[in-house]
Amino acid sequence: MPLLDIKNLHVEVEDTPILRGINLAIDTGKIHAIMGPNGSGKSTLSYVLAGRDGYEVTKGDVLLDGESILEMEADERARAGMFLAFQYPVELPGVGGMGFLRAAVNAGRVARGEDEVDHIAFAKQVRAVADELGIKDDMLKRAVNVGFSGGEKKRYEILQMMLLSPRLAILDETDSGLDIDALRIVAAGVNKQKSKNLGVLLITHYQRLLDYITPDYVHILVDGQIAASGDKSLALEVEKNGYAGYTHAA
Amino acid sequence: MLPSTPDFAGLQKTALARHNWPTAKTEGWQFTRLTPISQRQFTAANAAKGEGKANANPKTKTAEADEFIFSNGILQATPSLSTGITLASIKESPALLPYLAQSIALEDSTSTSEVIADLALGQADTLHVVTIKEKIDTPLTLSFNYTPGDIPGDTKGQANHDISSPAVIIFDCEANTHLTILEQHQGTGTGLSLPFMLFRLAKGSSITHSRRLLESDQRSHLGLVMVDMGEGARYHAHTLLQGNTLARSETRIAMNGEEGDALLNTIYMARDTQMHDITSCIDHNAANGLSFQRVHGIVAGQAKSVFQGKVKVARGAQKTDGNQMSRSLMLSRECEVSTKPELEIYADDVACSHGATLGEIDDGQLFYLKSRGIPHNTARQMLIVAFLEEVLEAISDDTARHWLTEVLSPETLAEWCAEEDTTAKPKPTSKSNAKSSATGRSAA
Repeated sequence: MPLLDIKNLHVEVEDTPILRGINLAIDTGKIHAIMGPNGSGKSTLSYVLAGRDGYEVTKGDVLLDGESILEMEADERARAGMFLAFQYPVELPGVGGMGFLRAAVNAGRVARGEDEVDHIAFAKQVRAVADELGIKDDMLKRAVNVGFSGGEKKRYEILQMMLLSPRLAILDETDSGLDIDALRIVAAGVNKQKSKNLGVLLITHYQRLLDYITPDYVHILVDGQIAASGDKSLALEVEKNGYAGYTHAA
Repeated sequence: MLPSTPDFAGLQKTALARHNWPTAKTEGWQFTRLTPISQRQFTAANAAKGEGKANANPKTKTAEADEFIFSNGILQATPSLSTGITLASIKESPALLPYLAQSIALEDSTSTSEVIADLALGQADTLHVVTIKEKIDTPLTLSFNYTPGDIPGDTKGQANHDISSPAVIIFDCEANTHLTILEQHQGTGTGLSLPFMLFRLAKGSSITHSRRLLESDQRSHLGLVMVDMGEGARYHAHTLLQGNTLARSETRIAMNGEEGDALLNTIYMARDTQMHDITSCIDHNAANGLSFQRVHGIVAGQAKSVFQGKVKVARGAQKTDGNQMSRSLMLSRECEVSTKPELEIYADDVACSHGATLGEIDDGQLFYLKSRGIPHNTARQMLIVAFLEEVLEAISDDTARHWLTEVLSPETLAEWCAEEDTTAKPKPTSKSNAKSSATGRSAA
């Protein structure tokens, strides 16, 4: 049984069809990259999987461990092991970083019937992971994402992912806004989680990220449908020839 | 009009004579309906005292050092005070009377503060004068306690007759002095609190004024703070308003000396059918003045709130830096928020800004928290607390910040945040109609 099974998924936003029959199965420990031009439905896919309001599934299903998640709230999906790294992480003025991270980790622990984390031990753990990602101590003390640069926000997403240890991570354009050094650090974080059987849906615009995170599969999303699937060579081909060959008009 | 050489009785008489309850047509009272109090009769607690009723002297704890305890507006036994502070009645400081008369005889006859000043002054049994002669380290605590009480002659306990609790204090701060004030209002009943404080800040003097307005939700409160700032003077106020059925907290600052520094941080929390009104007017009458107002309110249930803030920059008050920001978080579909920021600028080299936003909890922020596994109600509470936290964080004075945070216990906040669950929750997919925002910036 796949970890995540997307079956003939049709999604509308304000009565406009965006996704038009997506089929995709992700196994534990596998990395699937989704590439596609602007407006192809990449971000809609990430939001609808994460459970954001405002996206109407008109047909199809999404199964996690064989169970449909479509009736689950975003927080339930997260506690079931899904994680979305946002393309545009949201600023939360007034919400302290450490308290936020603790609340997120504790929500999962409480749901699993575990004790809440010990404040001091958790702070130590956060600092250790932050160190790996090149996140400065002072960033951890600030309000969530407030005053962070684009690159810092993306690293902070990966920090959350590493602390929450999800089973499936959706990385929505995590590479945008990252310089090459940050890209390496972020990729190392993802690869580390992959070795712990993380399944990944990697949404990206450019092939660049795939030099650092090697996908097992590459899919081309065009007009709300998967137009082609293959291995890493497909990404290289798209990089060279563009998406023109995959559009409906072609 | 005002007597030329006023005495206290004369001043009171004038105040009473010109007093009228404001209506929706009165400038500054358009949004705030006074019907909960204007149709009732109030007898000042000090008048009731003479009848030997228990109401005016409820049992309270003994005042500690540097603490004034007021029972229904009446100052209880005089406490011991730090060196550098003295307390007197106006009879002992008659020289301040012309100053007081001048302060409340505002040039603009429709001025909003007249109402509260007149009510308080007209009914107070005395006027307290606190003189500050040094930099004082210990905070001065002002505890206003209110209790319900019998009205003399009202043996049948008519519902429309209640106690008003006027209290008038002048703080006369000499040059280069400092005082931290912790002012708290609490108590029960259906009475009307009328605190009126006047600060005269001489050159280089400074006041940090923290206020917790926590009266029970049957009481009404009309409070006025007037500040007259000399050169380089500083007035920083941090206010938390939670209680009352009707509350108006009004602050009027006249920056009469150069390089004045005024800061007004305010949090208000209104729910059920409460009405909260935050009104301010800052007159920059001299150059190089700085003023900053930050008002955050959460409004739930069928509550109403008003923020009206005016910044006036007089001709010649160049290099004024006046900022004003009000934000309201609406937690229900039945609540009502009115904001009226005003700038009146007659100088050509100033930087003034104002902004006002009102809206519901941000969907994007809520989704972000939930996407991390945090349950809906916890996520909501985190965002509401964060909204208040933005003001608390901005308070650099540790004493003030801790003192205000003390009453925002997790239990209190959880109770607040749970409120909306009983009312209709907006449909997740529908666009919010109540959401709107407006910001403006102007510089001349």
